[in-house]
Amino acid sequence: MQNLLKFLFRFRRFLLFLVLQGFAVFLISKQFAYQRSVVNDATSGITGWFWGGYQEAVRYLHLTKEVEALRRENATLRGHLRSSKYLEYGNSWGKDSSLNQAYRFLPAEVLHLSTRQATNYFTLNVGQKHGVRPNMGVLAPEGVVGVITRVSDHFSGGISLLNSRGEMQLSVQLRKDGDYGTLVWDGNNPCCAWVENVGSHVEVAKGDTIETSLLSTLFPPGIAVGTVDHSESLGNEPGQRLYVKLFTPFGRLHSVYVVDYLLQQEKDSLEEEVQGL
Amino acid sequence: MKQSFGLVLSGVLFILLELGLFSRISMSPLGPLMIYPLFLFRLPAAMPKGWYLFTGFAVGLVLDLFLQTGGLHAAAASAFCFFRPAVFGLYFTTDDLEDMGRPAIPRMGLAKFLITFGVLVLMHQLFFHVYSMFRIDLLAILALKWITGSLLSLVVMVLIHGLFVRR
Repeated sequence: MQNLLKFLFRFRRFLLFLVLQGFAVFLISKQFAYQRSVVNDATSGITGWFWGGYQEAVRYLHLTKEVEALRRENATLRGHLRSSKYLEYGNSWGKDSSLNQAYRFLPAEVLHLSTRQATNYFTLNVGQKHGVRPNMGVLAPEGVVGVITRVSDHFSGGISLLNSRGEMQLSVQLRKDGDYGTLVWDGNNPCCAWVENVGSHVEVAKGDTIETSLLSTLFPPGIAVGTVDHSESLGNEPGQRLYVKLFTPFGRLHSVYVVDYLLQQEKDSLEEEVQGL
Repeated sequence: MKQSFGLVLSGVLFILLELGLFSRISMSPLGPLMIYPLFLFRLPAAMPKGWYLFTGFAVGLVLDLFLQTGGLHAAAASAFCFFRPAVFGLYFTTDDLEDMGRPAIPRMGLAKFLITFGVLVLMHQLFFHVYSMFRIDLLAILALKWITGSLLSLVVMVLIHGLFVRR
């Protein structure tokens, strides 16, 4: 405020001159029709520009809220996708069946994400109070990010797909014919990973899409993970492996979704029972 | 008191001359002949800048009211008064200006008088013609009116100054 007053005082004569000129132009525009039309045009141009700028500024200030609303809406819409539901059959096969919710999504922001370590971690701005639990998957709009391993009240952390110590191996499949494989990262390029354990009989072409499979319940099936760049045979061993360009831009991740598999508990307890037999 | 009365009287005289005589002299398409800038120039050199600016604007406004020219003279006269301190600053120190009193050829020297007054008349005419035409697509006509109007007004005012100002 003091600086503003100093500025005004320093340029008071120039400001007075501008005010007098402005008043003179006002009088001129009152007197002469041509000048009036020019002044009116200029004034509407200036006010238009001013209001345009003002609206832009207001829109910018509300952008965070709008983005938040859009992310929530996106999360809800993701939940409505066919892949986020499961088919529950009635008593008679094929009759009285209904689509029930299998996955729901919680929008979150990435607070921290490493990409240059052997095992890379991320931190999200949602935690236990938002309903986040360990072993929930994390998706970006472009593809898979990782899995939650630790949760506090307001934050959660996890390991990303970019870990070369086998802490997260994702079951994937080829979109065109459904052949399974396991996605692993070799610790080199954060843009690419390998799909191991692909049968040698599988015909793969460059550009084929890799997606999440039904075998992993961390994510809904059919979420695109990347595209095949090339394949390598394993020499004497059977099978082949595929070099995949990942869709997820790990270097510039901001908005993600935490994936909540609603049948996880039921599945886990059943598997425990089966393994206990 | 006597000096202030003299200033007001000369101001009234210049305005009356402008209204009654010089504004009626048709110089179309070169615009009106103006002599009141000489009155503004001759106001005390050490006059407070803000008051000087107001005085110029007021004189222009009076002319505009009688000549029905909106604020053309007010804008041009205030520009004249706004730039005078800066133009004087090129040749004179603050002490010089206080000693000078009312600017005149005998006190300033002919060369400095012609240069400073000429520059200010050019500024005055520029503002007047820019506001009266209010368009930039007729630059040649604007330049013609500006230069010729300035020269003619300057010659007339220097003649008046030479004939009637003794000190």
